[in-house]
Order: sequence, then C-alpha cells, then structure tokens
Amino acid sequence: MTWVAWRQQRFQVLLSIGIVAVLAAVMAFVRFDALSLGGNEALIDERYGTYLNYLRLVLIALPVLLGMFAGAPLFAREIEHGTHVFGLTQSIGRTRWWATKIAVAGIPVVIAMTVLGLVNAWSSAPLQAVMFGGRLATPTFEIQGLTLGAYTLLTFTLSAAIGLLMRNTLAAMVVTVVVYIPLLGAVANALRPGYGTPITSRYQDIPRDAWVVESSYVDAAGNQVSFSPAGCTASINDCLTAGGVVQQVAYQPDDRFWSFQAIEAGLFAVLAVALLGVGAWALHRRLRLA
Amino acid sequence: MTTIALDATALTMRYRRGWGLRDCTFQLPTGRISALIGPNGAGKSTLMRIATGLLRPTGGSIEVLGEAPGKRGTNRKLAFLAQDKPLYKGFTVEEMLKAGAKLNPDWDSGYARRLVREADVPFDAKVGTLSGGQRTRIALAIALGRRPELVMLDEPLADLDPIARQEVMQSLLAEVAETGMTVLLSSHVIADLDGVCDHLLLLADGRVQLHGDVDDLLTQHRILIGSRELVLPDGVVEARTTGRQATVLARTTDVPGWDNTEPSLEELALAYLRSTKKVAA
Repeated sequence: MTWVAWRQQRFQVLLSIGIVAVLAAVMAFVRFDALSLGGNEALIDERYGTYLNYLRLVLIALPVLLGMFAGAPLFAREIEHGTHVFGLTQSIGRTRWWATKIAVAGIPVVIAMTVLGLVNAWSSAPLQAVMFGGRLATPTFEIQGLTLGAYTLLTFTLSAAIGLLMRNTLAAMVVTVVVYIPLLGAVANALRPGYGTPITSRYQDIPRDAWVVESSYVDAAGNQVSFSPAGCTASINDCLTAGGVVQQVAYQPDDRFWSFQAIEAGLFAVLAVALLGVGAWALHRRLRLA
Repeated sequence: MTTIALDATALTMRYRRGWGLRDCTFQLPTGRISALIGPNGAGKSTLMRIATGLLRPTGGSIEVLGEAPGKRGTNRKLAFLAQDKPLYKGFTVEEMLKAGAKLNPDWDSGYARRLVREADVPFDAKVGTLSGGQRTRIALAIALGRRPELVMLDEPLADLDPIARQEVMQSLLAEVAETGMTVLLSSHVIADLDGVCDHLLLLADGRVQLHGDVDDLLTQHRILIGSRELVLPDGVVEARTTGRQATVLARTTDVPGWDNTEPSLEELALAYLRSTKKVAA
C-alpha cells in the first residue's frame, strides 16, 4: 500500500518539499547577509523590512495551504472518483488503507514544515532587533520554531477528516480555512498569554523583547485606578507622576519562547490526534460506499 | 471446499432514504455463472458491496465462500469489479498492475499481464486515456489477477459499445471456462446474460423475486396464449390481454386449452419485473 499511496501522492509531496526547500534557501541566505551587516539595525531594517513583511504573509498562509492540499483531496477526491472502491476491495484492510495514505501524504509535509520553522528561527535571529514586539508576539511567534509544523499537522488532519466526512474536496478546503483562521486567532489571544504565569513590573522596567500581555494603572497602594491621558496637557509621564499613578504591565519574557513553542505545538498535536480519531470513526462508521 | 459461493440469510440493508435490501435469503452455488437481474435501484450494487465488505448490512448476514466479510479487506478469494471500473486515472497500465501486485499477496503477475496483452492495451498507456472497452479489460485483468474463486461484476457491460461488450464477455467466459471460477454478473440488460448464465437471482425493490437454476426455472414456467375467456391456471405471474387474446406467464406445467411455450430468460425475467412494478404502483 505504501507504494500505491506514494505513487498517488508523490506530485503533491515533492511540490510541497520543493516550495519549502526554496524558502529555506532564501532564509539561509538572509541569515548570512544580515550577519554581514554587523548588527546595524537601521541597515538591517532598510534591507529586510519588506522581506519580513512578505515572509510573515507567506508563512502564515503556508501551513494551511500545504496541509489542505495534502489532506483535503486525500480521501475526498478518491471518493469523488470512486477509486476508494478499488483500494478497499483488495486484500488490505480499511484501517491500513487509511493509515498508509495519511502517513505518506502527511508525514513528509509536516516534517518539512517543522524544519522550515526551525530554519526560520535560526535565520531570523539576526533580524530580531528590527521585529516589532519580540518573538512571542503575533505574527512572529507563528512563523518560526515548532509552530509551522504543528499548524500544518492540524490543517492536514482537519482537511483529511472533513474530506472523509463530506466526501468533497472543495468543501473540505473551505471548512479547513474557515476553522483554521479563527482557531489560530483564538489560541494567540486567549490561550498563549496564559502558557506561563506572567511577570508583573512597572512599564519602564520591562526587558527587551518581552511580550506585554496586560497593562493597567495602579496607585501607590497598588490598587487599580482608571487613568485617561486625554485631559493631560503635559507629557503623559508627568501626568502619571502628578497623580501618583504608575503604569503596570504583565509580560512574558523572551526566554520562554521555546517552552511556549512546545506548549502550542503540543496543543495542536492533541487536536490533530483528536481529528485522526474523527477520521477513523468516519472511516468505519460513516463511510457508506453505495 | 464449500459449494456455496454466497449464502445470505435475511440480509437487510436500510439506508436513510429507503431500503437497499429487504430480508433477502438465497444461496448461490459455486462453479456457476449467476445472473443478478433487477431494475436500477433494485439492490444489485448494495448486495455486491455488502459481500465485499464495503458496506455493513443493517440486518441479517451473508457468507462469502464460507466466511463473513470482515474488516481485513475483501475476501482474498473474491474479486469485485465495480460499475464505474474504478482505476487510478493518473497511473499507467503497468503501474495499475503493480498496484494490484502490492495490494494482493496472492497476485498472479504472469496471468494479469497475459490478460492485458490479450486486450491489446499498451502497458505504458495512462489509464485516463483508455477507451471504455480497454478500461474494462484492464479492470477485469486486475480483478482476475488476484486469482479469485468468485468474481462479482457489477454492470460490467454498461456504457460499452456492442463490439466491446462482445469482447469483454468473450474474454470473461474464456477465463471462466479455463479456471472454473464462480461468477456473479449483474445487468439490467437481460439480453446480455441470456445464454451465458445458468443461475438466476432476480431482485426488485430490495427483495428476492425469483431465484434458482435457469433451466429449472424455464421448465417450471409457461407462456400461455389463448382466448381471454379461458380460465387462468394457478401460479400466474403476469397476464396481459390484447383484444380477444390473453398472454399469460405462469409458474405451471402445460395447461390444456392454451397454446403452451417455455419462456426465454428475458421473457421470464421481464414478466417478474413487470409484475412487481404493478404491485408497487
């Protein structure tokens, strides 16, 4: 079955790996070129500001694109063409047919995207100074480290499961996009700030590249107060001092980057396993082939 | 070795919208070519798909060569050719044969290749470029490459031109004669099956209407032609009148007073199919 699945999927697998390889090559070049600028932030920003904008765009879209193109047609197109009847009336079991197809189509692209995320983390290190908000903030967190592979795993298993349930490639793609984008936003805003207990400090004391997750105004006693800079005629700091008010922030320090990456990747991996379960259920209970 | 190819007991398949099969009990003997006849939607495909394990029945049971269809793929001794002859369009014929070999431990490569050569289809042709007849021959070669004891063909001749129909049928019958395979062949074109099949299973509305050895069934039935005033015998399947004359198909021996003839397979099947339609309507 492995050969059959590979023969069916090879174009899509090789194309995905090709795209990833080109991007990885660009990233490697960027790293060495940026290092040659000797840490001159103005120069780095001038040369790579636009690159970073496009890179964010491409790398946010890539997991859903590659995951979906691998997963959505995997079963849905077979059902559309009736070829699943061929596969399932040979001497191999239904589970093996399903698992082999999942493995052959999914594993290469998930590994490739994970490698790409690691390459980008390595490549972006010299550019970090010009990236707004540090590595933990959206969208920098999403495009490097382990997340790229984890997001691809999710979109792949999601579109494969939906393809089995809805038996329609296009519908599987639409559902994947419709579920994935809000999911990513919800995780970044609702869950990620809580991956670790935030550190509280005065606004002036937050370290470089920290990710500010909460901000409030407190008086000398530490009670929260409301403060509006609207009626302030002097500088905001002067007004704050005059009112005895301090801006207090909660932040996640940059050195939590890899543990946050691991937590987020783990979260998406758990979701992916659940989706595989849905797919297995659909395979045995719902796949009516009349 | 079992002498029963398919053994169905109260086999029932209920879909969300209506019935696929209702309480079907029958046995198909091995070593025969059985015709599965019925109108579209009668349950022919449902029956075959249950036997392969593609579908799980909602009631009753079926045994294929003594074994219930399981989860481990289709019974190794059973080959199934679906109506639309599903093959991977992007594969070449050679690659399709390789797929057959990879998916079936009992694969007979020499035999499958011989069937492809006999069909005169180039090995490097893409499956998507083949004509309907060629495609059917390749699908048949792959089905038979598993060296099945029982082969089930769902409407194998539909959408083929008359020449291709003849070629496919000849090729199939030659292999059956050589190997002694049991065949279950479905069609709604009864003329295709006449003279080929020696066993009959007639389905309508998901129920078994008629079932048995073709020669026995023909001997047990008569077409009666006579005046419409004559008394009808017992066992009338269908009676039609035109003017003063009545034409009756009945399960009976010769009836005095009528003009008695033995029906052909087509006449027999059509009479049963029309009679079930009238009851349903």
